[in-house]
Amino acid sequence: MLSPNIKRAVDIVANVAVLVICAALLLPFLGRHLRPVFRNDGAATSLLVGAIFPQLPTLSYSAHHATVLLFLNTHCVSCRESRSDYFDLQTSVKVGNNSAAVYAVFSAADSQQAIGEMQLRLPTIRVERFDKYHVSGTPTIVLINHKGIVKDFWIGTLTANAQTNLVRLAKEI
Amino acid sequence: MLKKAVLFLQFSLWAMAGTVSLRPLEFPGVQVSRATAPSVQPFITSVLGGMGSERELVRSLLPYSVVLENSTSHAITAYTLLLTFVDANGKSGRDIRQYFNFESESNGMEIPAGTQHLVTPLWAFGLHTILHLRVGPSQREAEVLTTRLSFQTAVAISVDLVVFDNGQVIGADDANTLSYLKGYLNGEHEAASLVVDAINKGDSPEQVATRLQRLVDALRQQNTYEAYARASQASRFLRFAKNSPEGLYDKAQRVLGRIPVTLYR
Repeated sequence: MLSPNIKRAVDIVANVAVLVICAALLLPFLGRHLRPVFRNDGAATSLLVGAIFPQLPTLSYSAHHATVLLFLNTHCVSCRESRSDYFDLQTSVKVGNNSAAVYAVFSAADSQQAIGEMQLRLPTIRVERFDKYHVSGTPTIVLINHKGIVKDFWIGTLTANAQTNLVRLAKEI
Repeated sequence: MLKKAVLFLQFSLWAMAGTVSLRPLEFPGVQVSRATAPSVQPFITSVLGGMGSERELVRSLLPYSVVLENSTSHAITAYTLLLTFVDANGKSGRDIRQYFNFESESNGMEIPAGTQHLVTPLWAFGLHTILHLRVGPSQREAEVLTTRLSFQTAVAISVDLVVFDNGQVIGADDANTLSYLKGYLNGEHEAASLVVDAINKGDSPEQVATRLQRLVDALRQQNTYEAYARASQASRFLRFAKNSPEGLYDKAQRVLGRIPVTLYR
């Protein structure tokens, strides 16, 4: 039988240990948010199909029957690996004269020079932060119709099937 | 104290996770909801209530799970849960889990008309599903997955594929798991035909086994989902040919006697 004092001491040590472990686990998370090259921006809400997508500066969704937004980052591994796929998308989504528009979107954390060095060969838009658009990681690809409604979205590298689906949906809208 | 610590740690990991989004599946009579949605909590409570020691494991997976409700007039015989994610460095990953049952006997994975299933990245449960999880390995598998996901900045969950008992297929199939199912269904007939033809020609059980082994080897070299599934079916017949050669012909005949499932969109 342990005395009450020892039991209390064990309890305190166990509580402190839990707090230390939790702090250790939270450190990478904090590091991730304080990283200078890319901020997670802590998106409060997730992307939602069927919802109105916030307006991007200098872009009118009604100008095209569909808009494909590629939320990218100059330090993003998958974004760099998929550059040629993104370029090909422009051609794939063409439907006569009324083709869907494809834009690369970067946050202000990326300099114009770094964006240029990516050699995307796509029209580019810079926004202050991604959280306004419910985007919390790159690459995130959002398909929007001419009314500004989200028709679908993809996170990460597009598989061959996902690329086919994106192109099909962009043409069907 | 230890239990409190584990729950606190699990909660901390969940709180650390980035945004989790659900990609919808639009089809009349099929409803997909996140397993954390308030509307499905009575069902989740019922499912978890019937569990033993595995309850906390399943609970830790709920942020990355869905409830798949089937209000159509057909049973769902196959479905795929797809998780795609990116980390702070823009590295992509995905986790695919496919559940199916094309047999007449239940394995707990099929979703009868008018029922729903809790579909997690590791297991799927109906109200009466009995799974015998080996808590040790299962716990490690769940911990590895939830820890990995907690370090992602964005996660998308989707029911990527659904197959009904009449063969109708819906869903984006971004993960290309339909090709696995096609291989699984065709592969069984392929191996059964090989066995029946060989035995009718007078091949010995050893010769049949050799033919099956050649088929398995050839399929494995193709390195596709479909060929992999066909190889696994041929392997099943190969094991049967080695262990119970006397029942091989009847088994193959039973497979060929079944009405084949034709998948269509």
